[in-house]
Amino acid sequence: MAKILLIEDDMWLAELYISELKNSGHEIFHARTAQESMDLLDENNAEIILLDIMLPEHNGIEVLHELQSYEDWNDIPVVLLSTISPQQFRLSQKQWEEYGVVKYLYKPQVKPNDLALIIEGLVADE
Amino acid sequence: MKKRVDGSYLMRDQHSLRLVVAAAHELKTPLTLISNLASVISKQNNGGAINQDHIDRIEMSSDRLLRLIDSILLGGEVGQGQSELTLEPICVPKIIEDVVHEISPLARAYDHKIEITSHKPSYLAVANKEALFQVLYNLFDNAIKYSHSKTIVKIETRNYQEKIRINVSDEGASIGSRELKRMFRMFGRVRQPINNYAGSSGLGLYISSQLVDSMNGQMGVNKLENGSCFFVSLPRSMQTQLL
Repeated sequence: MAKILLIEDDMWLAELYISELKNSGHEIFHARTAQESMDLLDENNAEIILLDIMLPEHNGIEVLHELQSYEDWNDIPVVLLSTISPQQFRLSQKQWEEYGVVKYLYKPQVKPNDLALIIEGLVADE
Repeated sequence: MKKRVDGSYLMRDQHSLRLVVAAAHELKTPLTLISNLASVISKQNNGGAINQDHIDRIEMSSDRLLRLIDSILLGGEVGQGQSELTLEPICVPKIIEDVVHEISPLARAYDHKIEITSHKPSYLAVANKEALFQVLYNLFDNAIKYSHSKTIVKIETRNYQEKIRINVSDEGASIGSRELKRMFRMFGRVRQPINNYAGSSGLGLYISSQLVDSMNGQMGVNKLENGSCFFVSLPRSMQTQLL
């Protein structure tokens, strides 16, 4: 079981992910914006961050940037969860890892059940 | 607290990506939701009260639309010279397996069998993984769409004159000689789908041919006695195995 911060602006998708992850025994905090995510991180000790990229106001890349700026948060593993294909960024695995990104999940190819299994794999590795 | 990492390379591509990505996001998010909801309902239904075929069709159709959007985005970027494909040695049989795995539910739903022959792991082409996936997905999807039910879609890979050639044969309606010429143009659909399959945009082959061009390959079609054989040939890698 892990404490997970989900940063996802689409409420219906967020509901699906939260439901699957809760069923797998995880504790979920949900933020819809970058600002909300920072507030929740201040209040809670997240062990994994699930981060959408297309967010209102400040996008997920800016959130990544912000997370890496602070020693309190820069070692929290981040799983990117996006409708943007990873190929569009042309970044190597090593470059993503510098930002704490342990996995890049392409939303259209990840069913809610798969997400729960991937998180379980990450928790087991920790 | 102190700043730790310089993010300049990460922020570099942001501006040029913004428009394309915003449009894709608008389309892909609701489609992903539809597909995911169908997947959850399917799991909960477990062969129960709701017609499972209908749930499967919602999931397959939305997944297919998501693939089409990916293909349009990738083909559009390459076609407009906004980006160049990164080419590297690719194991063609592995990509074929991945595409077949994804498209198998559709083949089953329409009573087709997919037959793969001459499938050697040493068939490495110099290509782009994502683009080749999109091209083959489009060809297999077409083969299913335009074949008579209970027929076989044959996928054959050959090593031929420094090229890796993939043949995709269907047992569908024949194509006339005049029609062959405009098949690879934009909106160049020349056949009617069989079995009430979701309609064609007439963009798939056009986009695929652009992607194959960008990988320094060739794409074409030959008439068969009963159906058609579409082929893609790509430069063979000098490597004999992936590093």
